Amino acid sequence: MPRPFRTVLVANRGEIAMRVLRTVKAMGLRGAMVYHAADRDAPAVTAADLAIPISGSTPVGAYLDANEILRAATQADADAIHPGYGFLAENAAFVRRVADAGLVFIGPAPEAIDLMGDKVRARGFVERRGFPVAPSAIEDDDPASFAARAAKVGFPLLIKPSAGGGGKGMRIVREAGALDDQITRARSEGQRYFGDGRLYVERYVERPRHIEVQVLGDAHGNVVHLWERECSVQRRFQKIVEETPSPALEPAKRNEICATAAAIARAAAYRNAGTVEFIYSEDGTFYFLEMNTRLQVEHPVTEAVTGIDLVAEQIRVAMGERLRFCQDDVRQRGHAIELRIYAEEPARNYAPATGRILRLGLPEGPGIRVDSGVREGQQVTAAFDPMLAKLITHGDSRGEAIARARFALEHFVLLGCAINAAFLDRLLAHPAFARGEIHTGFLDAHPELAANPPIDSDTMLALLAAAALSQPQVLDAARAVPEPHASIGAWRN
Amino acid sequence: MHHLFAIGDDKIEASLVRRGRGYALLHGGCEYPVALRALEDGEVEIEVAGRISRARIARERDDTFVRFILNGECHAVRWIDPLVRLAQAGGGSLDDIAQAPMPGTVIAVQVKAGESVTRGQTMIVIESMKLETAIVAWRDGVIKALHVSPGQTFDRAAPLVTLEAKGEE
Amino acid sequence: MRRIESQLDVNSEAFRLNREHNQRLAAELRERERCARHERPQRDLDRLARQKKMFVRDRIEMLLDPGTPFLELSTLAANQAYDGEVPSAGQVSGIGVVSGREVILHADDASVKGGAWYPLSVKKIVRTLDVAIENRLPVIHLCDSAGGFLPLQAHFFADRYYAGRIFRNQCTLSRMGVPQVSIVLGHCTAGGAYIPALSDYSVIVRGTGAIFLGGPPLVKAATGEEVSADDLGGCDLHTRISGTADYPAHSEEEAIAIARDIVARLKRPQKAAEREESEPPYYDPAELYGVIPRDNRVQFDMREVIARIVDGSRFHEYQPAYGTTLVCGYANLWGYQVGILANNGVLFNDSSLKAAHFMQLCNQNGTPMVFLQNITGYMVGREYEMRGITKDGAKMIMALVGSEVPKLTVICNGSYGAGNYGMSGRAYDPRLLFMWPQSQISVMGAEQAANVLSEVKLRQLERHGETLSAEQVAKIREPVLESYREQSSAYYSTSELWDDGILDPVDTRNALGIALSASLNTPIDPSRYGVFRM
Repeated sequence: MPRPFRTVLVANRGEIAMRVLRTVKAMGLRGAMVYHAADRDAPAVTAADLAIPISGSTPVGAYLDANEILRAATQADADAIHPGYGFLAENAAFVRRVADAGLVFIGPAPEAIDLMGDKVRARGFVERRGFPVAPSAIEDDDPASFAARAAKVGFPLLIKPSAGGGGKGMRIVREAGALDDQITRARSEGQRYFGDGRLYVERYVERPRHIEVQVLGDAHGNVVHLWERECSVQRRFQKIVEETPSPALEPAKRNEICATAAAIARAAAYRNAGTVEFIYSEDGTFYFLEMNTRLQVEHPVTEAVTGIDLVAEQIRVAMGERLRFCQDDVRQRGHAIELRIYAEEPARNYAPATGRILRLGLPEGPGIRVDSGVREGQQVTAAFDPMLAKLITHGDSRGEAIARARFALEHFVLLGCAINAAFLDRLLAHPAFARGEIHTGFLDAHPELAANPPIDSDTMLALLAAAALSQPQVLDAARAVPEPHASIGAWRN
Repeated sequence: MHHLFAIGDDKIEASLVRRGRGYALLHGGCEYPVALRALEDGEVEIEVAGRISRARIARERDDTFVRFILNGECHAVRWIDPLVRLAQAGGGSLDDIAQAPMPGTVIAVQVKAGESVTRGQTMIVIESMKLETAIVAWRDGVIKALHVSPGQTFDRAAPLVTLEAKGEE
Repeated sequence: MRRIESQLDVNSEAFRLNREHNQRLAAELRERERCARHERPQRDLDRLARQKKMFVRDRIEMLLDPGTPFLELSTLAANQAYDGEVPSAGQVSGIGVVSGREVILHADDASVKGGAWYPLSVKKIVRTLDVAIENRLPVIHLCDSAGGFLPLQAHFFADRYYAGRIFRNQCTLSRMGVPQVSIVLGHCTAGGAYIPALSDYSVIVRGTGAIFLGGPPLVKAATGEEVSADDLGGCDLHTRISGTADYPAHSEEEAIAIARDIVARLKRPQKAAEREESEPPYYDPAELYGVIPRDNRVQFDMREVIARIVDGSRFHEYQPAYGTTLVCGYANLWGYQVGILANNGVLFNDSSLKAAHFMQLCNQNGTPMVFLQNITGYMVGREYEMRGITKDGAKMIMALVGSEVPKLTVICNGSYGAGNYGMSGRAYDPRLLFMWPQSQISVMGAEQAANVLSEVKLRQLERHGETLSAEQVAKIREPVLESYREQSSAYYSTSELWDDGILDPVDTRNALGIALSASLNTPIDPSRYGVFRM
């Protein structure tokens, strides 16, 4: 029986907290937020009906603390908890504790998280059911022979931590000589980040494209896919630009991949929203990469082309409702692109940037959506992930979506902290991008995109003038010079 | 003594002087009349030797941020206090302070003030962009001061550890 | 105020010839100054580089506010002394702006004989500090000296205005509330150690700066102690232990930045007069080259000079019809009102009285005075003695000395005898005194002196019934003419520090503007005159 919620607690921060809250309130529900003191200026805190402070040994630690989240849920008298993405979103133990506390977790069942969270286990599950996976070697099968089997997978190959995900702890190995060393390092990182040093190794596809499929299942056994997204433009294995539909896929291939994804989700009896990720090769072959048992950062592009509010669907599924649409009902219209605005400096190897947001101006217009997690006056620190906002544009064609994305960037104003907006514009303007010739090594292949273009002398003078005329110490020094000396100028006898 | 401004990785000398009722920028041996005028919509006009560009600017402490309206380009200009720059450039100071290479969080502090360290010894472990970095002693020495503690976040160039100056130990 | 109507014909042959001549003289001045400022034996520059020291002029440029003027004083001091081996007497001195404040600099030039103090160096430093006292200018000392030049100690040690006067002046400044900042960039030895010690603030550079009453060689000779300069009196010893110096600096650049920051803390003086908007002269100052005759016995109209120095060329002339050999009146110079007194010929009774009266008007009004000298002297002769020319000259000097307003003097051409006195020569404490390149200064003209001396000899011989041949007359006259020519030039005067520098005429306006502004840092007391012999 559907069990309606009154209050939903959003256990996250930044742009996703704002985005989830927006749907929660649009559905007439009460939205509660948690926040660490470092986030006290965030817009979500004032947007929520109730905001509850949480604490931890580090700011990030607070959002990872199940006790804190559950305490807040109780305090808010919440019926359900939406985890957003990251943090506790794929923590099966947390999901169980939520259930034990009598609350509803807006997401998949813990069993699905257990299954898909263990990358080795997930891979095995998928392979056994006949779905395509990349040639690989799994340490657990026989730790003693792992290195030798890994070498047999062929180079280049990718070492991945079993307990990893989100691109963390992965290493590309191009030649046999480097293998042992890289295995050792990957193991120690896996131990440090995920508490699990086990590894597996996969054949690495050159110039692969990252294609993922959005799936949605309800508690009544219905599973649909909501078509694919391409997320090939990445740095350090993290996505920067996502779009749908993928410019690489013909209709037949698209159907094949999406149907495969839906089948995998069905085989796992998957409930709520999730994403099945594939590696797609130029020759049309594709391999299962992993399944993310949560809402993804880039979900808005799917929402734009399908017209479906995924968070609303997540909430309905969690309330026990049936999906109100079947596969044939899910149509795509037009093309959508998402740009991730990061507080970072691409020219300094994407090093994170900090600062206070002194000016913020968000673009508006047809086909433009902005999911922002910051407000003017807020301090951007190194405490959290540097993603500040997402720009999502929708057009009738890919070209129109790109044009609207560039327009949105032109009108996106953020002063006070370095962001990657100029870099994104150079990327969108690149002819190869315009042709859709993207792959996960695209940014490595075009390092000039990350570099700051040189500043011409007119611009430099304008910058110096602006700074000199704004900096009190410089103005004071100029004003301090008395007359007639200031008028006489730099004279010498 | 000219002022020093940092734009990207470049350090540029320039000064501002009064000329009549306005100002001029001195740079590279040349003088350019300059002006900054506020417009109604929060934008400004930057004028340099008759050339005008419209921009949005904001300043906090020593950083001025400029976004040109014409092409959306964003730049940051940092004014560098000469006393701070010259004190740090002194033979002593650079040698003795470890600064953060980029913003991040402190994961672990493995030494304390007064402790002797040998070259290569890990003193502090920091994390940034999911990468861990060890701040190691660049020479044998004695810890003079620790400027951060576990769990603390810091900005780029923030001082992390100071060693006793050679000759003070 | 009405604008002076220039009567100059800038197209005449005379103008053109004058201009060529004076431009040549100005070019010669610039070249001699350039050499004095920059020409150094390579080994001295190499030594500075080895010691990691900056050249004194680079230090000064770094110290001064960018885009501001620097009025250098006595650039050509000692140009005719010590075989020309001590350019600028090894010192740079001048008025500039640091952190928005008018200051006077005294800088040792270590590229000249290690910055050693020659007698004229000491005289220049004392003069710099006298200027500081009279104009209440904060002083910045850039110390870098090997100490006194011992072989010539008899000429810089014992007398009242010799080296001891430097430290006495420092104390006087401090008593007056005029601050001094020392930047120790090299050694301060023996007496020189008192400069930072008597400064209100001192900065010292680690490694190169040192302060000690006796340097390592003297200490070794005196007690046998062997110690390095740094250990004996270096940065750390004095900033941490003895407290003789206040701020340690890693580098010269840092020391200069600290000094600038100190000056920025100092309170600003009030000016003794108000300033208006200024405007450039209506007539081109470059025309001065054509105004000044190439033969310095030829008279010219000082109004043409005034018109090319003052704001808008406007001049309010006082008593325009009376005492016409002295031109006087009010004008603005870089916005400050001044009373100008200038010579258009010999001083007669009426012009002397007019001058004395006008000086009293300036004092009544608190208006600084500018003297433009071109004076051969007071009129001589029985008629004028009967009219009291000596009394009238005395009254002019009495008015001068009773004046409390600042006085500035420019010797534009000739400055002879008592005319020099009445027109505020050096002995009458103008705050600053400058000369033009072609000026001559002596008790009387060379020709006149030669004539007088040969006349005296002729008269002597006449009493014995003898006479002199033309040759013998020449033999008396030639040495006189020779020595007068040598010792009455502007270059001789400036070498001996009888003046504060030779100006290119076109620089006069700026120099006077800066000098005027400095002079107004001192409050103007009411004037008090002695007895005017009526």
